[in-house]
Amino acid sequence: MMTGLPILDGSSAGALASSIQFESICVIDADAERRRHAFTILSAMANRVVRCFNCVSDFAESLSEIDSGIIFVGGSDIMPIVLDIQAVLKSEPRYAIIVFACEHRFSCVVSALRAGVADVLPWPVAEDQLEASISRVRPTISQAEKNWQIRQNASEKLGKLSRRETELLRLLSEGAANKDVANKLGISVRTVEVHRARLMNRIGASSLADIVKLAMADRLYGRF
Amino acid sequence: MFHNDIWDTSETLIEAEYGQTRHCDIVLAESDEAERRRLFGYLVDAVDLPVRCFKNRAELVEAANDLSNGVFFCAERLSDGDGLDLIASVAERGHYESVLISETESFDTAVRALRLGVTDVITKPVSRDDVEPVIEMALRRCTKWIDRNQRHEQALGRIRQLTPRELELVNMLAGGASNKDIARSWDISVRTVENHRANLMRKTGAGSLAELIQLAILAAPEDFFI
Repeated sequence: MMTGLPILDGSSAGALASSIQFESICVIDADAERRRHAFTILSAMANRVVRCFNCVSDFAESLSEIDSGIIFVGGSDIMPIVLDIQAVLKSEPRYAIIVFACEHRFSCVVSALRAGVADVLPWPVAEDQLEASISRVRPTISQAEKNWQIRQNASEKLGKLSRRETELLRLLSEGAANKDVANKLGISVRTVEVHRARLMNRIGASSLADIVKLAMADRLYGRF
Repeated sequence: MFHNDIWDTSETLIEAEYGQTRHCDIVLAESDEAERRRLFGYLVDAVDLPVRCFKNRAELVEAANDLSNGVFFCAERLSDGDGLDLIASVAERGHYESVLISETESFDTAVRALRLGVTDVITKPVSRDDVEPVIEMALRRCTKWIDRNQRHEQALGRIRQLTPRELELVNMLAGGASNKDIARSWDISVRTVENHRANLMRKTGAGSLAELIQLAILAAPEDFFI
């Protein structure tokens, strides 16, 4: 169904971005009128690819083509939709959800806040409010995106390791010498050397510094 | 043998290094006396931490120098000002997870609170059941932040004592250079590099090369990862 081109309502093409920014923008709203309205403002605002979806499952189907970005959600009973989206995203924090609040209810904002929604905009929304909201959430997204990439990178490497190698990585990154590792694991120093060489090879490390760095990536950039 | 204290955030360690314990407090600003007393009671029962009460903005501002990190409960309306404004200024003083105590249940106020990044919004009259989960979550977030920040500060403190030359050495080592690489690049003997390195380890208190690299990364993670 997805063509890689920006689409409106699944079929008609919208503005094709001449320079695509790092964030993709999605609108998920069952109301066609609101969806179209949001699409018009968002795509006119800047050269951005804006994708519209009728429901969360349509969005989920296209998720593999969407990098980090902003998801606008509209509707009268918004929280179930937000929770569905978060379930689809597996709470990856590199997406910011911004809610269009059609009914200006206090309780709705508080629930949104608790769910980690990035912003709430009273509907109908003006262009300057949208722009301000996007600039407000942008630093958070780019930070989350960086953290995510560091984590991905690290877990890709860590995933290649056997349990023994993972243990070795931990010990080495904590300052153990080959001799210490040999004592601890009850193997010969020579065997540790062999394991160590294989470990470095697997993770593409050229020095102890790379080992320490990999071991620390998750601790420093793990999710809050 | 593999003693490594960088990740050890127990208070004894921090106490030893800085002569003080991890500082985290609960701050409450509420102008209504009955409400303030009640909430104070709930908070004292819920956590084993000092709870500091302020009856208005002026009182809190006067004590602002003592603020560091913790959880800040603030009424939406204080006798001398707006609660959200106060939350914003407290956030400039230290890392506080803030909780707005709403009186009006206004949509606009809740949106403002969300944009300020408050941890939660609760509504008057506040009950004991409202307070407990909120304080628990806020404290969890806050201590996590403090731990991270403290590790960073601690590493910075140890790295800061170094001369520019030593700093350069740390950077080269953390970049994966061997003693031989460094000797060649600086045009000095390996023996001299070893001496420099030994000094470095002594000054930073690092027990191993791995620990020294950890310190360098903790002090400036963005140099290594981003």
